[in-house]
Amino acid sequence: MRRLLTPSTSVPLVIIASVMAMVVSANIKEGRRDRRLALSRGERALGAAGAPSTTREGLAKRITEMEARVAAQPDDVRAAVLLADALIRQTRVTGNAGLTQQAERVLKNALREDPGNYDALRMEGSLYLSQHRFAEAVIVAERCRAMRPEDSVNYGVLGDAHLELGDYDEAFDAFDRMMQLRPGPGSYARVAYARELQGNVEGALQAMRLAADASEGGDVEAIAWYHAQVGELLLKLEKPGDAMREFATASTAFPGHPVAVVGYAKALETVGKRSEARALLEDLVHKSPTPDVHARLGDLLAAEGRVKDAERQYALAEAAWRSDAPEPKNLARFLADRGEKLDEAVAIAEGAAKVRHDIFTEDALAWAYFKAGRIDQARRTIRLALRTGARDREILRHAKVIG
Amino acid sequence: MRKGLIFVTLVVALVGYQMMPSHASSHREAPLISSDPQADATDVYAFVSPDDPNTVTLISSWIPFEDPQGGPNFYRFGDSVLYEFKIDNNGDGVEDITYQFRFTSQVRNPNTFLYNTGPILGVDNANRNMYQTYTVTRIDNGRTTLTAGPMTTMYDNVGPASAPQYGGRGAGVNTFNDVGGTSAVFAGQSDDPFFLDLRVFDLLYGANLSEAGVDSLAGFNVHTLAIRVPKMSLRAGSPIIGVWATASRPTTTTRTPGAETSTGNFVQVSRLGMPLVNEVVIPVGQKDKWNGSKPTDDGQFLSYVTDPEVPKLLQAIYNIPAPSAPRNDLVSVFLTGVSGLNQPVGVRPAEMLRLNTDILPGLNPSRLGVLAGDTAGFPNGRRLTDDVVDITLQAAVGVLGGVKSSLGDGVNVNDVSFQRQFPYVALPHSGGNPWKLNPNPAAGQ
Repeated sequence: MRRLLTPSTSVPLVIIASVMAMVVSANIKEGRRDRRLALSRGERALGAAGAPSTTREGLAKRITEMEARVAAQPDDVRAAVLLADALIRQTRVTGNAGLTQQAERVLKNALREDPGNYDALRMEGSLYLSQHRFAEAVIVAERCRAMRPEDSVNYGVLGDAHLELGDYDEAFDAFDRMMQLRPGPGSYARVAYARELQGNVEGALQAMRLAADASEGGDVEAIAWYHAQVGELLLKLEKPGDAMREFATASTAFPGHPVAVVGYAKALETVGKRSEARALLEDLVHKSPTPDVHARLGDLLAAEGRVKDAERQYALAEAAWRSDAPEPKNLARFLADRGEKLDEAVAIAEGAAKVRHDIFTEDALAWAYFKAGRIDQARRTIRLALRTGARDREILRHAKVIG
Repeated sequence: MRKGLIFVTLVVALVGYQMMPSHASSHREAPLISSDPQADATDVYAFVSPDDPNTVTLISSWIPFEDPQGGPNFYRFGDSVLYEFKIDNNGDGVEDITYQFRFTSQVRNPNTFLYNTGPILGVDNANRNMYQTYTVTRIDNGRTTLTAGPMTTMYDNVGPASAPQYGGRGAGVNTFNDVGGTSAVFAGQSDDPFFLDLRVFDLLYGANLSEAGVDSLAGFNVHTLAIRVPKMSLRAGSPIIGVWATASRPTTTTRTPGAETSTGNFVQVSRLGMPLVNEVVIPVGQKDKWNGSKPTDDGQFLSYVTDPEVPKLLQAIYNIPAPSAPRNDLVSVFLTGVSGLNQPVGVRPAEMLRLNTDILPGLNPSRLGVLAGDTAGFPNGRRLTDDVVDITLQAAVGVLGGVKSSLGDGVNVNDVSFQRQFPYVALPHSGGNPWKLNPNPAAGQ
């Protein structure tokens, strides 16, 4: 076999050598501008001794390191994208909405350095979603899709945004396309939403289980998130025991993840352990003070007759929905639920319904109309909230009351 | 405020708990760019088995960066993933033989989170609470020829208390009656056999290569699929076979009523043949397309190889003359195998690991493979010990043109020794012996 190494074969060997060089090359060609570490494993290893880390500590560490890199080299777009990703995830984990503003600044700066940078643009889509700027997310996702039609992520952004805006056919089409390009945790989860919105909770559960299974072995923040979603669906199917197991799995993957804690508290409530649920949320509200947690804690305190404490939580929720994390439909429904400031509740919900017509916004508007005594408008509007066939407990209850 | 207080009290008093405000149904932000490690192939190896040269061994690595202390559930193959080795034995770019692996998770006691409920003393030990069974199916030219199994996966090396006397000769190896005789399979955890300093890719931007030398993958585990097959049963007329691995996931749809989890269609989400290609040649934005592609369609990726940047970069940084573009020479070799070594007659250009199964393993394999005159190694197939990164770097600076160089990433061998018998990969790092405390764990020795 040694004869293969006589001079007659040395030419091909040079070629092999060049191939090896070429192997390293093409990505540098594309990535030189932003000094991207193209090797996917390398990327995961970035700054973290090789481990892909989305743990609480891992996210914090990545934020510190990427902030330093961006400060030292403002044209390091790759670092900016990694930083923005960590900040958006950290928002979810800490409930600190201010972090998305930092992510926005980072991405805007990066895009000033390199206006057409695909990775930065794509991350901007995710950012807009987390800021509930859905129309802008659609615009960015369409632009990214035109740049790279084979990238399944763009269909995820597009579908998420359409879903929130109430354009369900567009959303479901986008999710199906995402699935055809790349079945995996992200696309299974989105199929699960779509099914749930159509009233197919069993089908949603199976798809969400696929997402949870497919996320194993990797990103712990995502693992926690998917298992918590499985838990939520089990609660809807009135299986609180099984749901608790999922929330516990979620919290094992990412200790104290808000979605796991909130879900576990809901399951405890369902089985009548309200004070335990309240204790969990009292702890969570210090670590992750989101309006939803405040409001939910308010409910539990009120149920125990602790009216003053409940009021305090409601006030915090209302303030947060008005300022830190504006969510008009939630605020409108909250006010309607409380029978307070009903004209304002209607105005807020009408404002929301001008820009989006998802079933939850329609439901909030219908409920505000009803509470304000505008029954005909409530009846017309609640039909819009029922149009997908979702078996959402609140929507169905409102529909029953409105008649 | 006073009014509000009264209202809340009234609500509670009059309608009770059912009427409490709800705050559900807000925006749901499923992770968009979540990784899929179970379906993420990191390396493929194909070589004539050193201790049984009538057979060929194929190995693929999955689930990168496994932390040995990855409890409480540890790691497993994907139940919904279709894992495949594909073999083209006539050079037309299409698989002629496929080995499929399918897994099913099993739990002995669903009421515990524990991986084991006592020391695990063997693959089928009752203390092994969570395990997987699997089947292996061989397909010849689109027709299923046999299915073997169910067999049981090897358990993870979770630590000396839970997994005492881990490993041992043949641990976790199953055999079955295959087309050409007996084949052996292994599915389970192992050390990550790839070794390199990942910073080497940063160094190409102009940093000092002497800074390298740390195996970035030391101490990490992967999940390994390995199969050892009588080589004649893989060959057609030619001794040269092309090998690649794929993973596919089932699709399902948004508008399906009921609880369907698969339309029956599988979409390929991972593809790997030659080392580094998937990770480095294919730009990030083309990855979905690449991972879903077939070797016969590789022409669509040609633009990434005809005018490579690396030789220019090396010229700029290290004053090494770059050959001029277009590099049709590169393209032909990259896609066809080397003439006189591992290029099939009448080959259709397609990216895969090409192995001439007539070349027998030598007694003293060189980590530099063909570059050092050892034609039983990379790029004639790929052995576990082949140093593909150093081959790349040395070749790039002109070793083959007569330049003397020992350039490399400073990582010449794996962090732990490979086994001398099938499945050859090193035993996994122990969860009870974290590498962080002991940089030279004894696993695999």
